[in-house]
Amino acid sequence: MALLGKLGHVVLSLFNMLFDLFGLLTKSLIMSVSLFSKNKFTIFWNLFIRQLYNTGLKATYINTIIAILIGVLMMSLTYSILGENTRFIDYYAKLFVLVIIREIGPLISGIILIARSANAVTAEMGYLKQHNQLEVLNAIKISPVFLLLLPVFYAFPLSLLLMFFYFDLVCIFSSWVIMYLLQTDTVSLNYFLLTILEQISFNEVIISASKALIAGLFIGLTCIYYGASVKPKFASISRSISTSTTSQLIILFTVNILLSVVAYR
Amino acid sequence: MSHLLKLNNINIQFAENHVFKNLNLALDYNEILVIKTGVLDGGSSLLKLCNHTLIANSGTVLYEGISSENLNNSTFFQTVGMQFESEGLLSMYTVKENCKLPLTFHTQFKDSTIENKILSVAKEFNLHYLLDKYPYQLNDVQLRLANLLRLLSSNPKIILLDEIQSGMSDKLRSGVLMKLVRYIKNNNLSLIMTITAGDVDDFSDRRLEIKNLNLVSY
Repeated sequence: MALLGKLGHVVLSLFNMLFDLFGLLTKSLIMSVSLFSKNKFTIFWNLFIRQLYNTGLKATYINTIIAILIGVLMMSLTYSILGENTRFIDYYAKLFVLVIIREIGPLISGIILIARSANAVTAEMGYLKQHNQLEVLNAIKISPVFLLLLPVFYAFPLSLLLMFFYFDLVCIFSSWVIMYLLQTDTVSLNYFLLTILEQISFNEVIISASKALIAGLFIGLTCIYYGASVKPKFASISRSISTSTTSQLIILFTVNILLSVVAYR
Repeated sequence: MSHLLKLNNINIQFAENHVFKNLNLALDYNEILVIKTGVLDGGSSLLKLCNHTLIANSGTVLYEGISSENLNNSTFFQTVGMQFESEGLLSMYTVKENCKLPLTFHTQFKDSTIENKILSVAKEFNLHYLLDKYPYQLNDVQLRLANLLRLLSSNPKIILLDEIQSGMSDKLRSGVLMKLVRYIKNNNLSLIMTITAGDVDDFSDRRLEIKNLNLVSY
């Protein structure tokens, strides 16, 4: 009975969170109307650029390292199975699109976004909450949704999209470098890139972009939601980060797998 | 003629703890009102109520005869503003950016106009040395002064100051109060200031203190 009660509580909490996230989504869309005012847009733009820089650009370093490693791994494994096959590049291109572009790229970029940026935003938001700075915004009659949520709401999906794109490019390049070192017949980077690009359909581009936009949007909303739920208690911020990360990982995997299953069945 | 600010039959309580019961208060145009407070007796809550950041359990708050429920955020911003006793600034911005934020948000002024407004108030109060500092670089007195700078730059009709004199040396206190009273008179503003033991009140038009969940003259 106690187990059932706990299960019910978990399910209820999950639904509450989902309703709250959709509430925040609606508020963000309504608040976006205020961006038509020049002065308000200036405030938003400065915060948006700062968020995009912190989330997208500063992640380049870690994104590059992981993309190189994955590219090396992918090429080494494929080469160990196919060897000096005459149609190696064709097979590799198909495999690359299937594994990296469709699944691993979006997932790894999403995990980097969560680990590097979403946690930081939850902590920042929690700090603002614990130091009564949401009350300050209330006192100067500025909605926290405008100042704190909107920049994240727009920057996170865009950052994730850029991270996908960058991850795939670096992965292709590192694969080519390993292939260049392993194979006796040299293949130009240009040809290698074109062979992979030929395998990417318009549908794939749309699905990948949708994964970035939907997952990025909900990861952003979730970190603000949990950051704003921080209580004035010791360890409340770390607890919020922990819960927020769990929820974001579930959202990321669900969105990615669901879209893949629906689009590529 | 209606009052600039009027509180009617205000009741405030947090859980079982009553803070105000049937509180009435009227603030006139160009009036300086001082409210003497003790520890945790509701001074800050009263100012937050006047600033519409705290909603009373019952009662009405009228600004120039209009109920707080019928005012939008921009009108509130032009009508009333508050200085916080502690913190009160956004930590992601410098003092100057904190001052610019509400003016940029609520008005259509150009950036240069907003900057000039802030610089002119900073110059008048000798606070320009705070402008490029972040809140974490300021002590509690400087934080309150930075709050004051933001508030005066916004130029609302009602200025609410929460224990601004706390921690100030006698010299600093007399200097700030002299400039503040002059600024308020010159700009036709009204002021409610909470004070605590040892603070100066001789510049005020009216003095009240919080007693038995209400306000009484002293």
